[in-house]
Amino acid sequence: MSYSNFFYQMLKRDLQLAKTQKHELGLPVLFFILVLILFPIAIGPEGGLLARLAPSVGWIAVILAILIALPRMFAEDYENGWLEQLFLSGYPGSLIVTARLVSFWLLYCLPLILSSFLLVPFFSFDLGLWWILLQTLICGSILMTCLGSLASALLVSSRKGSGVMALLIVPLLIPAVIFASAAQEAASQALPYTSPMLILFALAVFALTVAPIATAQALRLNLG
Amino acid sequence: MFKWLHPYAKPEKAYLLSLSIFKYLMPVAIIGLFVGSLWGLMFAPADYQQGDSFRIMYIHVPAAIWSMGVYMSMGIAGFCALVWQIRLMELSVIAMAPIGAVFTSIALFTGALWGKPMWGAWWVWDARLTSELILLFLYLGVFALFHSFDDKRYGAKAACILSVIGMINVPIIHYSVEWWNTLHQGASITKFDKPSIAGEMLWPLLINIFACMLFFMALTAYRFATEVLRSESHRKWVLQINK
Repeated sequence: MSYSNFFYQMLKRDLQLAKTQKHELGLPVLFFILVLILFPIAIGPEGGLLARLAPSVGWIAVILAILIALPRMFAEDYENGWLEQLFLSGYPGSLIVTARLVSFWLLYCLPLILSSFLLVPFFSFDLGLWWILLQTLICGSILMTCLGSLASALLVSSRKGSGVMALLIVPLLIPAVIFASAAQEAASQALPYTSPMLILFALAVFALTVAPIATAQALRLNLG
Repeated sequence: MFKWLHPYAKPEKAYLLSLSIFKYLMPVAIIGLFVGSLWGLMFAPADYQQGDSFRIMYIHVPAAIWSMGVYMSMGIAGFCALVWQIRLMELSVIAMAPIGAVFTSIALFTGALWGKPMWGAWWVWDARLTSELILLFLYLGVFALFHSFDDKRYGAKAACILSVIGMINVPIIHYSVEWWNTLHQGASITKFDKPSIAGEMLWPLLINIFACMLFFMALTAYRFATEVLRSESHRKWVLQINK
């Protein structure tokens, strides 16, 4: 099988498996919406303040929701031995990981990003600014998926790992949060926001380049 | 050099070497810290603007410098451990992580003590403070990752991978945070040509920085020796030592 065909087959398998477990896919999105609802209730229903907080709330909620979803990235395949077979198959580990990254992003991150639209009605958020939030979230979620794949690969054989996940990912995510909020801030004042957006994009591309190699290494380590 | 270095890949030799490093460095480090701190805290002239509260610098600056230096050496050790598959290097990463975390906490704590009279706040979201705080969490992450496995060997390797990833990320975090917000005063002693600090103030600081490094090396050697013993606890030479 050629590499591209292998990649396609891996992706197809992940998506087909996901089709059989629809309820699992919905949980992070539900969690995301619940976090969104908590904020106005805790802060108070004042429109102006909520609109200012909306992009940050969106980002925090996406990070939390992805943290919920991340332990599932490799756990099942590790337990039933599929991962081991894949690594024995002789295909490059980074290819296997990249396929999983893409399927994870499509299955978990994309719904989250799209449901950030709820900020517009709930937080009386400006539609034009939401469009920018959407772009920062696309870059950010790629970064989160990459870092998260590394963390969940490191923790895949650990029984007490779930609490450590946040400790591994959040400090490394801080630059992305900073640039995203800088872009949002600039856009809300009608200033050019290209440069933080480009840096964010660069971070995402960099992570996408390095993460598959590191993740494959971490998985090999866990497979012994 | 390798011929000379080679025997130390053996745990027993490494154990003895690190113990003797500890034995020689620890007294020097303690004397250095004592002299530097006493000189700095009691005898150095008071600052004309900040009065006596600038003296916290003699603790704060060495701790802050080595909080970063320890991370760097941890990352390099982790990288070497992964690339050349040296098991003892993995143990050294684990040996360094808590020490670095303690240095970082000391830097944060003394910084807060200084910030209250100077800036009027225990904490501000300034660039350096924030990146130091993130550094603390990176250390804790490495250590927590090591302890979340029953198999210590996997835990150590995983911690190595994380320390290397963290090392790549430290400059990114540093510059992003710098760009975000800056209030902390600039460095005074890294300008080599003409330091903007008086000589009588500078000397105890330099002594403390150097002594802190020796202290870190000695502690690392000791923790490393302990880790070696623990990982080799079933071997004959360990049993002989314990007898």
